[in-house]
Amino acid sequence: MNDTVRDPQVAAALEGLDVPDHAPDFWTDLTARLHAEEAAAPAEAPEAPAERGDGVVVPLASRRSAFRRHALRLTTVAAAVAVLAVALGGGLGTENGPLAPRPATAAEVASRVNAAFAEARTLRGTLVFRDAAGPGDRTTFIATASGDLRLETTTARGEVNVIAYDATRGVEEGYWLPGPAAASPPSAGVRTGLAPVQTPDQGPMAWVLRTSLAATLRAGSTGPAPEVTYEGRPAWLLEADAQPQDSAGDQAIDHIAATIDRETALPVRVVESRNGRTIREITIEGLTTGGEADRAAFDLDLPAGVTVSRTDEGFRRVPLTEVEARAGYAPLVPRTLPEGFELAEVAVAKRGGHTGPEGLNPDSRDVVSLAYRRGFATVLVTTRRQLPGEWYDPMGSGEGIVDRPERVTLGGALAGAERAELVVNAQGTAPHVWALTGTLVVTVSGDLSRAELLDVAGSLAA
Amino acid sequence: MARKDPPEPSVQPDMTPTLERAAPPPDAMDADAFVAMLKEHDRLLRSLVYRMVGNRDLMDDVLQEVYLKAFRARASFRGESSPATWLYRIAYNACLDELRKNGRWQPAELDEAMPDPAPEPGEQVALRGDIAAALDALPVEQRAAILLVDLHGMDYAAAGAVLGAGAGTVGSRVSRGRAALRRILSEGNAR
Repeated sequence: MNDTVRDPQVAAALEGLDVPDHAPDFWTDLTARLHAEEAAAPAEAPEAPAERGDGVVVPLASRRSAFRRHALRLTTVAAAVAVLAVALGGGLGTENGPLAPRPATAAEVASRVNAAFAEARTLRGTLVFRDAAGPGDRTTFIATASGDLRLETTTARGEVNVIAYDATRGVEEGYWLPGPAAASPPSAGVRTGLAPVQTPDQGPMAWVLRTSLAATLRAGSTGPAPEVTYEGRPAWLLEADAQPQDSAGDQAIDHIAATIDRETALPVRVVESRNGRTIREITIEGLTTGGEADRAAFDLDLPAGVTVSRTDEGFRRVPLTEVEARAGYAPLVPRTLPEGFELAEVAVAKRGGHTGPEGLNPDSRDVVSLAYRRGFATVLVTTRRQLPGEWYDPMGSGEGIVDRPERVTLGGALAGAERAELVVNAQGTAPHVWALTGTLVVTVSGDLSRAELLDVAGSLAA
Repeated sequence: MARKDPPEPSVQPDMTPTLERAAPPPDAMDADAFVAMLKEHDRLLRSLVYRMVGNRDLMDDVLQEVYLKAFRARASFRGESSPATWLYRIAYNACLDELRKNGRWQPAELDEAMPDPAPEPGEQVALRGDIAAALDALPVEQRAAILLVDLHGMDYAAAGAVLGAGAGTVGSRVSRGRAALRRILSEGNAR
């Protein structure tokens, strides 16, 4: 049981204060406004009514529910792993040579992991989750450096959840089959027109290894990485503290330890704990980086007769040369990028989703999203019109995660920006810079160190 | 790696049963269901917003906008916190916006950096025996921290998530706010 931090004397006094009721017509007015809002626009970017496989149209409801539970779990894992490397420091490099005959530093180990991921074209393996209740989900995965992803999860309750994202088409498909004891019917969903990356707009879901890579890119501690043995093989241990987040409740953690296989330089185990007690363990079995992926793996056949919700997030892939005609302004393109990054996707949306903590920003209009990739690392540059209203960080974490932005001054197209901030969180979203130019809202995010983020953001030019 | 914030005790507030009641996630709700959810949290949100903006008409105006914003943004609710925390955060931001509009809010960075200032406005008013006025006279961030922790029963981390501040910062705000409010309580008991 947790200890209270309330001051009983102050609390009692405050509880005695009056709280006025609303005006009599408050709820009537509000209900009318919400109904009007509901009738006028969907909750987010264009969304079609859900349709069942048998052709019956069903109301829009929790289209995310079945898939999201697992996606959130993976995202949480990803965030947790990100904590590890962010807490270790910052710095980017890909070291391939032999390590010096002394204990490797965390930075050197992270650099080796980075190199392994940078060279990989595909990733295959299985994530095995275990918590205090015992064995949990098992997720097999296939991912490509182009952004394709397939996750197939079997839960301890016998549920099956399959999600596939085809980066070429910008389409994510998924279905959920209940376990033997479940009362809910199976469901399926198709999301088209996705942004290249999950945030700040609606892109494919993040997953553990992708974010793990991002994390390792940011690692740079000069401290040693202890040498350990894991399942009979030599390995390194990377450790870091994490600030417990209230949103995690009794699953909040204060420490993470990742085990890195020495031969492959790939992660094999992550243990999250609090006060020395293991909260969750994720083991990565059979992780391999070779071979080509069968394209069919990213194009699901949805089960027949299952309710299918269909969503179009509004992004369309276009050549860079067509962006200005589509968006109505010249795209901001980085003149400086770390070696090896190449433009991989250009997407434009007349209307994007809600951004910012709790989705409180003004509407997103004429959104341009440029994704640069190097192996499994990604850099994303987005711009959208700065419509009137109060703007918050489009990638702001919200919901229980505290961002710690740092005001920065940038050059290039962001020189003289009304506001420019760098955010490198231990938890929450990817490291990023965001800025308000007066006409555009700009974000630069991805698998970059602090210095690289500033360089890239400061090199943007139309 | 040392954590900057002090270990924060975690607390299940007295009002937790109200806050954490099982319900469909907001992103799955239509307008009527959303209003029903809002009504569950409304009293707590009223108590925060009223003490932040200072009168009922403004409270209603702010909460109309808070609830409308929340409804528009419900698809972005990620389920990583309770709907109550989500609503609190939207409400707090809306209060700050309202106070900014009226020129009644100044960021508290300088205030927090000061080691131990002489009698705060809150203390001065407290001596007059009016806790409500003492509360109103506190800097906005202190007032909000006091309300979330001592009235709504949040721990520092939870309050920090609403306020956009670290647990240590919240603890500092609470301590300073309590110092002002305790004065009036002790004086009231002595009479």
